[in-house]
This record gives sequence, C-alpha cells and structure tokens, in this order.
Amino acid sequence: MRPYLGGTLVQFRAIVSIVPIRNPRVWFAIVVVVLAAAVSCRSERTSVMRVGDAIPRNVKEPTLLDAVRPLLVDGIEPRIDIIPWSASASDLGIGESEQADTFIADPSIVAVVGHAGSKGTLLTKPMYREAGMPLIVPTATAVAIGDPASGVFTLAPPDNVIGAFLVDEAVDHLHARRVGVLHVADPYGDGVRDGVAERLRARGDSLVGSAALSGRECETDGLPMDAIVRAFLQRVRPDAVIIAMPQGPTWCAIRRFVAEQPDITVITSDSYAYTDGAPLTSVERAHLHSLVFWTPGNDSITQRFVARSRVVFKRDPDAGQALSYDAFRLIKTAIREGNVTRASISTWLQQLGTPGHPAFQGITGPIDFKTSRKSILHLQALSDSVRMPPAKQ
Amino acid sequence: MTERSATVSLAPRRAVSIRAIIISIAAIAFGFILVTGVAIALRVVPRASAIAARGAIARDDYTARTKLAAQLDSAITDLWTVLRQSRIHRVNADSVAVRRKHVEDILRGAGAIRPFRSNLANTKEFATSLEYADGATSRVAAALLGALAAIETGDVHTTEILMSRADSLDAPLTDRLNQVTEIALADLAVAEKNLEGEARFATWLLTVLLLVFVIASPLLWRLLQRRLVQPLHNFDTALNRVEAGDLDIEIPVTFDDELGRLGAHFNRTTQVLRTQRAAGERAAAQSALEASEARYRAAFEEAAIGLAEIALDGTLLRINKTMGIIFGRDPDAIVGSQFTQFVHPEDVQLIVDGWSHVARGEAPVTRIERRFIKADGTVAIAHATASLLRHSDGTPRHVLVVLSDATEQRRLERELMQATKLEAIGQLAGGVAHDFNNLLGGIIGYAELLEEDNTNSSAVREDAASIRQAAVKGADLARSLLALARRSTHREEPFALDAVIQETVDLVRRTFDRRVQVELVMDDAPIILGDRTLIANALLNLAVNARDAMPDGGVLRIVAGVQKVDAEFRLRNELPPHVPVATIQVNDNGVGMPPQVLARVFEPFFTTKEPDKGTGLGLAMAYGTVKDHGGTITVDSTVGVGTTVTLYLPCSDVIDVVATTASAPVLARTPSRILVVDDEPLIRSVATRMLQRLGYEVESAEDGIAAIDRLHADTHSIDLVIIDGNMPRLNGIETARRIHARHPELPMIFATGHFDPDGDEALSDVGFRERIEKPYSFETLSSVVARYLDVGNTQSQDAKSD
Repeated sequence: MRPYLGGTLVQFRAIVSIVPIRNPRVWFAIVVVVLAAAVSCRSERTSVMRVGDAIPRNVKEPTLLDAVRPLLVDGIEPRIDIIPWSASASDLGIGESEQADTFIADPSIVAVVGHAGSKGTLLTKPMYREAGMPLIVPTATAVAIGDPASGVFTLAPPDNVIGAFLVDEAVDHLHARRVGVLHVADPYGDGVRDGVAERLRARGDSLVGSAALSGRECETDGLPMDAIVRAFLQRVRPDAVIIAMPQGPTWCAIRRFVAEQPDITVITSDSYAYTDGAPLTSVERAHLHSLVFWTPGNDSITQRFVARSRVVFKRDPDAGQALSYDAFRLIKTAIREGNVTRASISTWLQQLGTPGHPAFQGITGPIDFKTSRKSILHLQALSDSVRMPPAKQ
Repeated sequence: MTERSATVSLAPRRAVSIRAIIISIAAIAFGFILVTGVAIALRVVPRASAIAARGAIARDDYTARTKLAAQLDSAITDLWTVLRQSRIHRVNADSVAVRRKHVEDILRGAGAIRPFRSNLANTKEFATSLEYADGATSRVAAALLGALAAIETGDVHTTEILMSRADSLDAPLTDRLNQVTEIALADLAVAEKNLEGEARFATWLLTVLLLVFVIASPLLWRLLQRRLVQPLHNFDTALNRVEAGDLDIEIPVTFDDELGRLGAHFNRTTQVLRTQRAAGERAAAQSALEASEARYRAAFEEAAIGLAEIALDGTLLRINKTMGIIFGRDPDAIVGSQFTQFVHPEDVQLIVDGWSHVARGEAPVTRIERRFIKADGTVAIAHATASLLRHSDGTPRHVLVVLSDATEQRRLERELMQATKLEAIGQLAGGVAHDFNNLLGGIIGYAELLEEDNTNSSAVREDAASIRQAAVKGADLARSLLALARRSTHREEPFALDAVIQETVDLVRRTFDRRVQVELVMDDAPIILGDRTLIANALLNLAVNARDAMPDGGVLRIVAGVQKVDAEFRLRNELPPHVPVATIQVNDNGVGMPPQVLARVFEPFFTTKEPDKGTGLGLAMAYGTVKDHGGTITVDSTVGVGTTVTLYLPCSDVIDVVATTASAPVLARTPSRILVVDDEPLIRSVATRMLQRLGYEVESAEDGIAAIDRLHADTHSIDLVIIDGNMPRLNGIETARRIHARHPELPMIFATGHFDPDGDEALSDVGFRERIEKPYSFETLSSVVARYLDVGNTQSQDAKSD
C-alpha cells in the first residue's frame, strides 16, 4: 500500500476547514495519529522474491534474461526479480561454483535456473542440495543431474533417454541396422552412448561400434577427424551413426562421414543445432537428422515469447531458451501460489503431476518431474527443416 | 567494622549499581571475547580453512595434471613404438583398441580435473592457462586418437604426421601445465601469506585481549573489593555479632548501591530490634516492678507489724491490716486522716516533735513507745519506728511508720510484775506462815487438850475454846497469805460451784446493808475441782469490794454459769482447751474505777479504801485463788457506771461430789507406837500429847537424822512415822526417802505448814501414805493416824489368822 501523500494533504485541509475544531492541541494530536498511521502504512514494505539466473552470459550480447524479464516481472505482488549471472571468468567456465555460492548466500533468492551444461550443473548440484535451493536445470541432460527429491529438477530428458530415443528413431523410422556412436569423451557423450547401447540391447541388437573423441579433432586441418572417421567406418561399417559432440566437431564429422560413406545416415543429438556458421551442402543435409527439444507453438504465450526474442535476439528463440523461459515461469507460478521459501517451492515442484497438482503447461509442453520428458524430443530431418537463424554457442 | 558514631554521619555516595557494574564488566568481557571469537571464527578460521582447502586442491590438481602429463608422454612413447612396429607388420586391432581406450580414459580424466569450490587461482590468467592446458591436452589426445585411427587403417604417413603433431603439442602442454602449476603455487603462496596475516591478526587480537584483562584485573579487583567484598565482609561481621545478640551495631553505608541500600535496611532493622529490645526490657522491668510492688503490697498488707505510709504533712496514705488492728479501725476508712488523730493526747506533742526531724530526713525514729487510742477508747501501746523514704532523685516521698503492738507485752509485763510481787509476798508469807502455823499448831493443840480435858473447869474449857478459835482465825489468816502467794496447799476435791455461791450469797444477804440489793442468776451447776473454801473466800472478797463501791447502796448482781470461751481468750489467759469454763460474774453499779486504778487492782496491798477498811489483799487473793484453780479473772470498770469482775474456772470432769462430815476423834483400838519427827519442840510436844491422849505410844525425834538413827536401832517397835516437811539438816522428803529405802512397809505421814513438794505423787514416791496440814486439829490427827494404824493392825491380824 503506497499512500498518496499529496492527495492526503488536500483531504486533510478539507477536513480541517469543515470540522469545527479550533483547538490546536487537538489538531496536533490528530496529525500525530495520522502520521503514525501513515508511517505504519509506509513501513509495510513490499516483498520481492528473487530468482537466480545461473546461465552464463556474455555481457556484450543480450541474454535470454533481457528477452523474458518484461514477461516475468509484471509488478504483481509478490513481485519477482531475476538476479543475473555475476561471477567473473564466466566465459571460461570456471565461475560456476562461485556463482552458486553467490546465489546461495543471498537469502532473498528462492530458486535458481541453470546451469548451462552438464559439467557445470554437476559441479554445483551438491552446493544447491546442501543449501536447500531449488534448481531447475533447463538444458543439461546428464543422467546424474536429475534428482527432484534433492531439489534439482531437469526440464530436458537425460542422456540415456536421448540415446534411447535416437535408437528408436534410427531403427524404426530411418531403418538403420548398424548403428554406431561417435561421441565426446565426457559425461554427456558417454551418457548418450550408454543410452544407445542400452536401447539396442533392449531391442535385441547391439551397438556396432563407438568412438570417444576429445572434440578437438577438427582444429587445424581436421586430419585427426578424417583418420578417426575412416577408421570408425572401416571398423564398424555402420549404416547410421549417432554423433554426440559439440557443434564444431559434429559439423566436421558430418562432412567426413558423408564424404567417406555417402549412404550413411547421420543423426545428431541435442548438442548440435544447425546454424549458418556451419554450412552444409544439400547432400550433407540430406543425410542429416537432428534432435530438437522444442519448436515454437501457436499459443499466445509462445508467440509473445518468440516475438520478444525476435526483438531482443533478432531471431527466433532456440529450445534451450524456451526451456529456460519455462523454468522461470515455473518458479513464478510457484511463488504466485504462495510458495515464498526455497523449501516450499521445492515441494511445489515435486508435487507437480500428482493428484490435485496437475502438470504445469509450459511452452515446451506439460511439465512435471515424475517421469522424463521424452515427449519433447523430436528428430528433425534437416532437409525438411526450417532454417533457423544462427545462434551463439 | 566502624562504630556507629563514626559511620552514621557519613552520607552514602551516589554510585553506579553493583548490578550495572557486573553487567558492564560481563558485557565488556563478553564483548571482547565475542569480538575475538567472532573474528577468529568468521575471519581467521574460514580463511585458514579455505586456504588449507585451496592448498589441498592445488596439490591434488597438480598431482592429477602431472599424472596426466606423464600418461600422455607414456602414450606418445607407446604409440611411437606401435608406429615403428606397424612399419614391419600390421598391428593387431585389439592392441589398437586397447590403446585407444587408454587415450580415451586419459581424455576423460583431463575433463574431470577441475578445481571445485576452491576459488583456486580464480583469475582470468589462471582460467586462460587452465583452458589452454585442457585444450592442449585435448589436442594431444585428438592427435593420438587420429594416429591410432591411422594405424588401424594402415595409413603410416598420416600416423607419422599425427604423432609428430602430438609430439609438437606435448611440449606446449607441459609448458601450460607448468604455467598452471606456477600460478596455483603463486596463488597458494599468496594464500599462505594471507594465512600468516590471519595468524598475526589472531595473535594480536588475543594479545590485546590478554593485555586488557591484565590491565583491567587490578582495577576490577579494586572495584569489586570496595563495592562487593568489603561490604559483604561487613555484613558477615555484623550478622555474626547480631547472631551473638549484639544489636548495637550498624553497617557503614559508603555507596548508594544495592549493598548500600541493603546495609541501610540492615541498620534500620537493627534499630527497630534495639527499640523493641529496649521496650521489652522496659516491659520486663515494669513487670518486675509491678511484681515487686505486688510483693511489697502483699508483705505490707500481711505484715504482722503495723505499717503505714504517711505523707510528710502527716496524712495517712496507706496502712496495713495490723496497723488497723492496732488502731482498732478499718484501714480503708482512715486513709486520708491525720496520723495524730489516733495518738494518745499525752503523746501527741512527742510525735509532732519527732516528726519534724524525720520529715527532714535528719534522723529516723527507732523503737520509741507511744500510745494510741483505739476506736473503742482503749489504749494501744506500740513501739514506733519511722524513716523517711525518698524518690529516685532524692526528694522526700513519704514516711514509713512501723508500729509493733506492745499492748499485750505490757500486759504480760504487768502480770509478771504482779507475779513477782506475789512471789515476794509468797516468800515472805511462806516463811512467816511456817513458823506461824507451828505456833498456832501448838496453841490450837494445847487449847484442844485443855478443852477436851474433862477435869478442867468449864471456865477453863471455855477459855481454851476461845484460845482455839482465835488460833484458828490466825491459821485462816496464814492460809490466806499462802493463798495470796499461791503457796498454800489447797485441797483438790470436786465441789459444786452453785453450793459455794449460794452459801456466799446467803452470807452476804445476811450481813450486808439492806440498801445493797443482791441478785443471783445461776444457769447451771458446774463441778469445780479445787478448794471450795478458797473459792468462797474469793467470791466473798469480790462481794465485799462491790458493797464498798456502793456506799449509798445499789445492785450487786452475781451471774454464774458455763460460758463458751473462744480459743484466743483461752490461749491468752492460759485456760485449758476443750474444757467447759464456769464463770462467776460479780457486777455492781457503784462508783467504778478510772483506768489508772483499774491497772493496779490486782496489786497486793493496793487499795483505795480508807486505812482501817481494807488490807489491799481482796482482789489479789481472788487473783491468786483463780490462778491456782487454772482459771483467770477480768475486771471491767467505768467510772460512774460500775464494775464487773468475772471469774473463769475450768470445770471438772467429775460429776459426783462426795459430801464430807465432821466426826469425833478416833481413839486407838490397838497399842501402836508412833514416831513424831519435827524440829519444832512445841509441835513435837503437842503432837505427842495428842497421840498419847488417843492411846498411842509416842516417840519423837528432833530431826530426820535422829529419826533414822532411831529406826535403825529398833525398827519393829515403830508402827507409824509423822515427819515434818521443813526441817534443818535433813528435810522431811529426804528423811522419808531414806527410811522408806530400808523400811518400805513402814507407813509415813507428811505434815506440812506450807511446803508443797511437787504434789502428792512426789510424796508417794518417797513412801508417804498421807499428808496432814499444820496446824492440824485433834480430830484430823486422830482420823489420819487411825486410818493407817488400825488398818495396818487389822491387816496384821488378818495375816496372823491366815
């Protein structure tokens, strides 16, 4: 409640002129009482619930927060504010724990959205769990991340689920018979590989081969990737290869696979998003199928989000941004429903999907944390896909 | 502990309360400790822990990266070996797979090496170096993986290129790793320096804290000593003294703080207790005073001597019961009266003269005899002692007069004087009467011999009779003198008092003037044990005195009977208890007697009559007679009204009176020999003549020695011995004791004129059978002697016949 002092004074003068009280002491007492009431009203401070944005940002370019802040901060009590990433050396990926400490130390922050990758998320997960801080992870997919009981909620399905989905798509829709995996030698790549192998075993088949790479094979002249692809094709002879590597090595590998074996089907995981920075030929695109988490819908919320992103980013938002937006919307909804503490928000998130607590309808689809969100997975044939504007990695 | 006088005047200084001091000290100490603890806990310890953790992480990171570099070097060396082997023969696929797996593991290990929550070298330089190092590792691994793939495909050329690239990348990797390590070590050095700084800070903090305590401790001790320890010690001392009963103590109140106020409370409490104790002591003293007053009042009231508190002006303030008795008045009724009102008029001036000295406290009055007038007009004699009593401040309060009733004492003294006079008279009369009786005995005896001798002419016999009658009157006079001296040997026989009174009244009525009207009232006929002749003489003397008191005639009233006499009267007049007392009251309405005359009426030879009309022995003889009969006599007389004399005589328990009749002389019926022992020749002669006339053989002895000798010479020729009681050399009693010792069967008769040796029982103890009073008549002698000689002979004859 914000008293309008100007109007109050006017009304006060009007009352003074009307009420037949001439004793100054009486008026003084009335003024004191009124001022005391005003001060008491004034002292009723509004509450602001803060949410930490643990997605590393480059201050030189706009971030998702810039896009969605007007959508999230609407002035309705309790108000919601978003605290952005503030740790140094964020661009080098070593400020994850420092940022987590910053968020945890601030008692006004009731939840955190982030971190960007599985490595940083796994690094900070114990910290949030110890502090009781609910953490919604929008894009990281490492199997070890998702743990709703300890307050860590993932919006994307885990790596093994992704691997299994890719196997089903490759076998069922792309009719692959020999599936190999080329992946980065880190938890993410290993997770996808394990998911693929597990699903193939489940289907009565087996992984014909896999190779772990450092992700640096395409630097300089790409000679190591050439050798690796050739050796992989020679050793495995796959008719479909699933690549779970970052953007650069994936592009490099796609080109080598298509060059070495033109009939091969290349399937990329969620770590790859086709951009103009990595142009592929039509032939190469014809062999390529890419996994996406989200495609914009036609509902008003999605459209507002897309429109806002286009204003800020000059392009459509990607799946990671959509998941992050859903994550903020989840926390906002939890707060608006009266959950103003870390514990209550965690409880609210855990109860989604249970009787009486329907799943949250996000722009990426219904959200609860009882099962993995396999439904958001879509395999897109790049030849049919709409070219998306290039996005910064 | 300071004395009260030295402390009460000191006002307590305003001071901070002890609670505030303690709270302040505790707060300051707690603040110092808290600051130190907080500083150490929040600054030193976390920083030290963080630095230690960073050191550990740096060490682990350095170890891991060193291990990684070694593994890469080993892998490169191994692959070079494999490459050389591949030139000779195809390398086994499994061998390649194993080595590829090894490189992949190295690659995963490199990805896992990340400082976690250490903020180790959290700088862009370190991050860049770390990124470069990781990138170099990845590149070396990529080259090695490519080389292995080339080996697998048999592309030796590519393999050599990639291995050479790996070699070329390995050196920068080492440099990068060394750079990272140096940065980490430098960061660690900075951290160690910071740790030293924290250690110095903690040391400084603790040192400051210690210095503060060292500096503050004496001040705190001094403060606590003045404000807490010393006051508590004062309390301890004071309470110990209070516990020992000493309430005269106060605690010095120096500061106006809690203990100061407590001390003030204590002082007020002890003051209240002192006040209460003083009140209790006053109450106890008052109670003791009241008890003492009560005891004094009880002693005062119940004292056997008269006590009176008299104001200085002579007003009676308080008198006790005995004093009331002395005055013959109710004590309460005379309080407020003047003391001199009750003093005999002749002694008032003496009292007034002595009072002025006593009232001024100059000299107390001690045991002076003064007379007081009772309410009934009688005079009380008392020994008076007066002393001045003063108040505690010395001012005179009143005079305490002590009266010791001497009235009875004076009466006894008069009686003693009377007895002394009578004793003197008795001595005189006894000595005279003995010789007088001996003479009269001779006269009467010879006169009776002449009178009994028929051979004499009638004229001689009439003359002898006249001589005998005159001698008998002389004997009566002698008996009167002995009775007066209470030395007579009056007879002890019961007789009816009414007969004696009646005979006396008859005599009086016949002989007194007709103007004297004689009235007799007798209610009873008591029996008296005694001598009726003496009683009759006493009564006759009283009647004569009454007649003489009524020269113009009047009423002589004699009232006799048995009266109830109270115990006090019996005790005072030595009357036997529980014995009826017969009274004979002789009353006249004559001239009466003044007190001074009344006080001397029992004195022998005291008379107010003319010289030829009285001997002054009448009342004296009556007094002696009554006393001899165990009774008493009182006289009440008022001038102009008359006189009443009352005789009190104890009654006898004998109810029958034996009448005695006169008889003729008894002649001896048997020849007997009688020994008459008497030092008086006339008595021996006349007794011899009388006994011979009666027919007895008579021998005589001039004293006891001669008699004893006679009996020793021939005991059996003597049948009876008559022994005079008063003889020289050996008196009659001793003579009889010796005779009786050798001749217990020999009867002896005691003849006496006045001597009364402890009664008849004493006579029987020495062997006397009978007593005969001199002068004895012919008839009396014959009957007594015949009673023993005839009986004894009769008994002898009875014994002979047996």
